[in-house]
Amino acid sequence: MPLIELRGTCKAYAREILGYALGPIDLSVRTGEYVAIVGKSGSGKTTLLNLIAGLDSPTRGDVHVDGQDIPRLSENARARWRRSSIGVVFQFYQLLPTISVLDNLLLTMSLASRPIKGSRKDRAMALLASVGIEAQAHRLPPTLSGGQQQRAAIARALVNEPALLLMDEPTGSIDSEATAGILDLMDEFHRAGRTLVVITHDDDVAARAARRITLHDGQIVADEMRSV
Amino acid sequence: MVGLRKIIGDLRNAWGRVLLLILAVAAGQSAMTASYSAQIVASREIIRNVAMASPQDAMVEVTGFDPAQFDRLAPIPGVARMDMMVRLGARYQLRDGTWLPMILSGRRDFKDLRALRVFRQSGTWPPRAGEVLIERSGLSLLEASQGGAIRIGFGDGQSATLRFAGSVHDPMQAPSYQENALYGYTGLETLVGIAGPRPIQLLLFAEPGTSPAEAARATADAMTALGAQVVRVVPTTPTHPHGDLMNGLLLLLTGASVLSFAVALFVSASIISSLTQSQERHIAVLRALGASRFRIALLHLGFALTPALVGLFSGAALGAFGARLVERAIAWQLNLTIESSAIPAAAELILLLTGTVGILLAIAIPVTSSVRKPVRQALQGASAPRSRPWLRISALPPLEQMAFVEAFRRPVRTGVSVLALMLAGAGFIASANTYASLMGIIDGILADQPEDITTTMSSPPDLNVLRASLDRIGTVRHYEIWDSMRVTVSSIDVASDAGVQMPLINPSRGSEIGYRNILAGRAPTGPGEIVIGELAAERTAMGIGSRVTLGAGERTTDVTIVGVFNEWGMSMWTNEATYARLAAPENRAREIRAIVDPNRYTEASIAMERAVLDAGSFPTNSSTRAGFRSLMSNHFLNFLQFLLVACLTAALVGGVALSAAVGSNVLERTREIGVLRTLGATTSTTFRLVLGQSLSMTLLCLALAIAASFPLSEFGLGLLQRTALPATASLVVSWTAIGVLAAVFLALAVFASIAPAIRINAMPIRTAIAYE
Repeated sequence: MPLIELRGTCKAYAREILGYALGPIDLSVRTGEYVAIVGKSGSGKTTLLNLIAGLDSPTRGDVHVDGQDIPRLSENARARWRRSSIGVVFQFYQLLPTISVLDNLLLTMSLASRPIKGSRKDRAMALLASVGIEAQAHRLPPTLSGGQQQRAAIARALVNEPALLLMDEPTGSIDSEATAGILDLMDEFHRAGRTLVVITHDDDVAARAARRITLHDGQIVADEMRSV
Repeated sequence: MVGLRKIIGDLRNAWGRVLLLILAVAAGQSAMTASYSAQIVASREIIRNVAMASPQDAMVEVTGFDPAQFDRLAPIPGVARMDMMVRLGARYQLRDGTWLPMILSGRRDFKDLRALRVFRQSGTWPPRAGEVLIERSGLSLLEASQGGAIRIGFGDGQSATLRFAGSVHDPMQAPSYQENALYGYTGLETLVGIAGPRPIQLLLFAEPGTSPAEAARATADAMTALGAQVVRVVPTTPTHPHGDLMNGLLLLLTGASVLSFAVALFVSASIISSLTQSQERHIAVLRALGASRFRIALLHLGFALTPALVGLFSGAALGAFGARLVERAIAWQLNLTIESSAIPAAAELILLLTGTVGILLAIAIPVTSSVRKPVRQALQGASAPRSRPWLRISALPPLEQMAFVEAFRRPVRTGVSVLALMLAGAGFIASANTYASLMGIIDGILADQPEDITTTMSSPPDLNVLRASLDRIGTVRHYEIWDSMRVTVSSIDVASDAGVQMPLINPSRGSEIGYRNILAGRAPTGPGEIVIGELAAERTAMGIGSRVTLGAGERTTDVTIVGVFNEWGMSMWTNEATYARLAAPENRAREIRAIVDPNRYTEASIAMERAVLDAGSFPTNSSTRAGFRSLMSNHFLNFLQFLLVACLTAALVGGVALSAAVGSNVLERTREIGVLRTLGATTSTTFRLVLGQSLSMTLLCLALAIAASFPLSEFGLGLLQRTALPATASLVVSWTAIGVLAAVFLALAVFASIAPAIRINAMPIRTAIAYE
């Protein structure tokens, strides 16, 4: 059974009276895949990510992720599902700025309330060490560089061990040196068996993925499997 | 037109904060208008009522003067004119057999009341022979309708039935419903006819150039020359008995209202600031397109001024209405007539100008700050929040830590709500502490006194009959018959040539009830020894070791104070050896002190009064433990309600400020909360975050309010001590009030969190995380 399955899925916004922002589309993503979704601005990439993450509801069609019929879940049920099933990384990191990097991870863990081996703090510190920012654990996010913030955001997305990692332009706001580090991290997590869906308009990022889906005016115009 | 449409559109989009802005301005302006107007009117009306009712300069009380001689008196040097009256303590009998204290005045000529004037309200004027008029505030206590008969008892055992002919207003009396006493007015002949000859009070007006003391002295000399005896000379104090206290309370009310207004302005500035911030990017775009700063400022001004002016004018109207309510409450408290509620045009102008200037300032500061921001910076949108490491409490869980940081991230905004709520809370606790302290005095006195009922008698009874009657009362467990008389303490310099008068009490020999709790020194065991009440000692600067001369009629004796005891009012206690030096036979057996079955005070009191009547005397006053406590409690609450109104005003402004602060904080953190929801925060988690902010603020308010309440309580108690309290009080902390305040603040925190939490949860996550 696919991890993500969209069937006849459409999304229209109130102001778009002439057509859909997305769809209708059909899409399946299996567990362990590394998928890049590319397209120009306004092609519907972020709308697709919002539907998969349950941040928005489709106007028509189905969205099933990890066995859940997302549109049929209530807002709170979706929140509970998101805690344990997906991790989201945004272009502008979106770390909570008034608490430390470590607390950003601890807060995400406390929301999920999943039992873990050892203490939450140890697990969070181990994760920060794995993304190379252990030394910045107690600093406030705005005091970190863009690359460090994005690493922290990735650590936060992984902290509850989700089956699916969704990334929206993860390298869009960082320099090339930091980009290379982030891409290596993404490769590493994919090799560890995680499913990655990355939205990007950066060819270098897309090139790392085994599957490349191209969107244009809300439609999937290409779905290519590549060897990497 | 485009600008106007933009203003209307913006107002509609931000209707929640616009409503808060209107509320804040209206609350501040109405509080200031109401309290300032009420203070002006009350101060003026207190003076007017007193001047109208009590224009005389002094009172000379004499005995042995025939009232019929009054019209034939030769002119007295320095005295322009005089009036004459008799005033005595009496009692009015209720249907259930109990009695209410009554002050009965006999007036020379109701058509020519020159001094201590009373004013016709209803019924017959002037009262005919055998008729009595009742002060209007006592009509609710009277169990008779106009034209009916009322039975009045006098101190010497006489009683009479008078026809209730109508009502009057006596502005110089505290209301009957507060004092639980009636005031009656009859013709002088009627009063003397039923109560017998009484001391005459001569109320005199000094001639221009003559001091009241000189005029009083001349009158006293003239009376002495006519063979009368001068009992006392009292210069008139042209103030209402509770006027100073009321003015003090009104001043506090005005102070609290001005502070509330200042807080309301801060709140308004804060709301306007958040409104302009949400407009910043639009405005920056307009500026980038070439709009001048002046034009932008006009847009902001139109946007902020519209709701502010609505708040200002509705607040002024509400304040005028509130002022009438406060004035009515004052008139009710002080038994005044408010002739006019008008305030001077200058005062109205000051109120409106203060409101307008305040509002313009509250608008100008955030608008100027917004307009001066460089276009580039405004286009970038909200900057990252300032790091405030001192706000990080790592011991808190992350969500609570985030709430705490959010609560205090903007110190000015938070400080304003905290200040207003702290003031309200401190005032509330201080009022409750003051009430508890006052009741503490009463409870302390009641705890110290074993007796439940004290019944005073007009004359010594037949002791055998009295004892036999009292022995038959099943509810009376134990009783004692004590001696008491009024004595003059001549060495004390107060407003009387003859010194101050106080009761001197001699408990019965072998008394089980015994002396009051001795605070300092010891009980008076030897001849020539007395103990004195704490307040009497304080007011007269006497203490242990002081030697004073006591006088009763022709007899005097020198005594030494050996102790100070706990007592409400002023009195002295002594032993038989000392009492015997002053006592005439009529000063013996004048009080019954009884211990009765719990909660059967009224029944026992009525039975004791019947026993006194059976024994040939007359019960002049009965005071039960519960009755005294209830009377005092009502008395204190009547005055403290003004403080509570001030607290309510501050709480209203504080509540608006808290809602505005939390609302603005949440709005500014819309994106972060959106992120939190992306991470899996449910609606309850979001509510916890918002509630955590409100609770952090209200907990701080509570802590500060408790801390500030102590000096405020001390101040309030000190004010009462100096102006109205016949006892010394120590501060009692009302834990109930602190508990109530904590509950109210908790409710406020929940209330302030609901709207922002609902709003943020209703916003789609994709909109929230894109929010700027």
